[in-house]
Amino acid sequence: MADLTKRLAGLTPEQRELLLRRLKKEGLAVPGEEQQEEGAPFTFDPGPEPEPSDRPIRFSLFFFSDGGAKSPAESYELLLASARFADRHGFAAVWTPERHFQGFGGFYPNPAVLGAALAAATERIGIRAGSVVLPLHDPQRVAAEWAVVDRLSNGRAGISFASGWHPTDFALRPEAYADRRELMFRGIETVRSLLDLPVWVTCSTNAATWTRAGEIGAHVLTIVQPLPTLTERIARYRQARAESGLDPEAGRVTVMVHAFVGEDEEAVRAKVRAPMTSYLKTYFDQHGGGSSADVDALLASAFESYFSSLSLLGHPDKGARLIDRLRAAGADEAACLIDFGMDAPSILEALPALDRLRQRCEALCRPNL
Amino acid sequence: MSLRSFPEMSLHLTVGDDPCLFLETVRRAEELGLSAIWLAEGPGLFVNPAVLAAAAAVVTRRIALRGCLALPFHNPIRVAEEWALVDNLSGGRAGIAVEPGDAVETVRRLWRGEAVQVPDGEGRPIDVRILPRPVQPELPLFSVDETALRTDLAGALDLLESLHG
Repeated sequence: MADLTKRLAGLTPEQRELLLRRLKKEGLAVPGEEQQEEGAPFTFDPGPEPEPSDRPIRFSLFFFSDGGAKSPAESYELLLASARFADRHGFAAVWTPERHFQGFGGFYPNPAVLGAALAAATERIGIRAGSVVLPLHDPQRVAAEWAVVDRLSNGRAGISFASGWHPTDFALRPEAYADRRELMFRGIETVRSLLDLPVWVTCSTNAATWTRAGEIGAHVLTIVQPLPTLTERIARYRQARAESGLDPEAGRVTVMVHAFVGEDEEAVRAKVRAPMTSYLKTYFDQHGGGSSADVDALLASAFESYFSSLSLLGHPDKGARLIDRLRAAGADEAACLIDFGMDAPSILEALPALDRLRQRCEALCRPNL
Repeated sequence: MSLRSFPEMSLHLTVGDDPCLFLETVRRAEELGLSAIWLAEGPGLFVNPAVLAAAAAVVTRRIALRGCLALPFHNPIRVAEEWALVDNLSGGRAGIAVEPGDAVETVRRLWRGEAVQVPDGEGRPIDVRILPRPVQPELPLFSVDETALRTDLAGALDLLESLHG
């Protein structure tokens, strides 16, 4: 932290403001934000303690990036081994993404193909896409492929749909780029007319997408974000459901969080810092990058925010506090992103600790059972 | 379990819609020592043979998994990506049968790790390479095997059991 403070203090006021704007725009925690005195230590304020909530919450596993795998084969072994663990231990689902071309998640070109493998390898767990980038595809074909996954898994399939954002991905269907958001919503209608599956819409911080997801009665998949924003978005989503004549509480909000649970806080910090920072760097680079001093400061700051209070990285007590906050914000599921760059043996070794946190948090939600 | 092995034989599944029967058939074909399962693109379960092949990959260890594809109807990038995924899940057992043509050349080049130039979402030409990288350095390409035991899924197990006799 001292190093970060020094670096941030070295920025000009303009650089500093730019950095804060960037953090905000990316939906990341802004440490201290406006109240921050120039040059003062950046301390992340997680906000007031939430009201106790008895909202039940489920845990699932989420795969997204796989920066840590030495080979594709290793990443699929990790995926199958983790999914089997989650299947035996009462996790709700396993999510796999659709990514093309770039290193960032490029091992996952079609979640229906991978979902079929997961369906054959497991017995109870939900098999979900997080996400199918629908404008890249013919919705009828997506429906037909997922019908097969649903049948192979005996009704365990679910899909979150995303509009996509990276022009490179649209090499698969360049003509869909300009109107991708509308194409996604139109495509969802087509898929739903052909296939009766649980449907999520992947939402970032864009408020209009949350509202629209509520209006069409879809669930929501999102990435963890500062809790005041998340609380507002979830409220907006549930209100949109209510205004469309749908049970507001029947919509599920799934929040993706980085997870690597361990009792020894400092050992975990040392272990996750490099892969997590590299994960964040890939993310920033894909969103336009920036000057290197700027990006380094931003990354260090983002890592501290995530590690201290926006992730399940480190001590389980700290993780349990985040889960309490997610429940209070109105979330229904913590989708634990485990493949953000750690080596496969470490990820597998840490799963039992995550499972103990899951049991603890799920038990807390059911005081009467 | 049969002690006989039929490495000269492969099974060509044309149509069907029972997922449990599919997995049972694949397992039985492997037990009997057949060399390959062919999956013909078609309706129902067979809409994308890569999806079925991925499921088959995790319940078998040795048998080859091959799709018979109507390539002109598909984006060659998708075909290359999906079968590269099957190749990884199966430890290098993927292959496809297609009609010769330009699309198959594109699939073959992508499989080798070569870049293909296509327009991105903003119309700029970009070079794309597929991920994951496949296990087999060259994509095994076939003409459809006329000697394969050709059957619909419903009749497959009976056909396999008749090999005993």
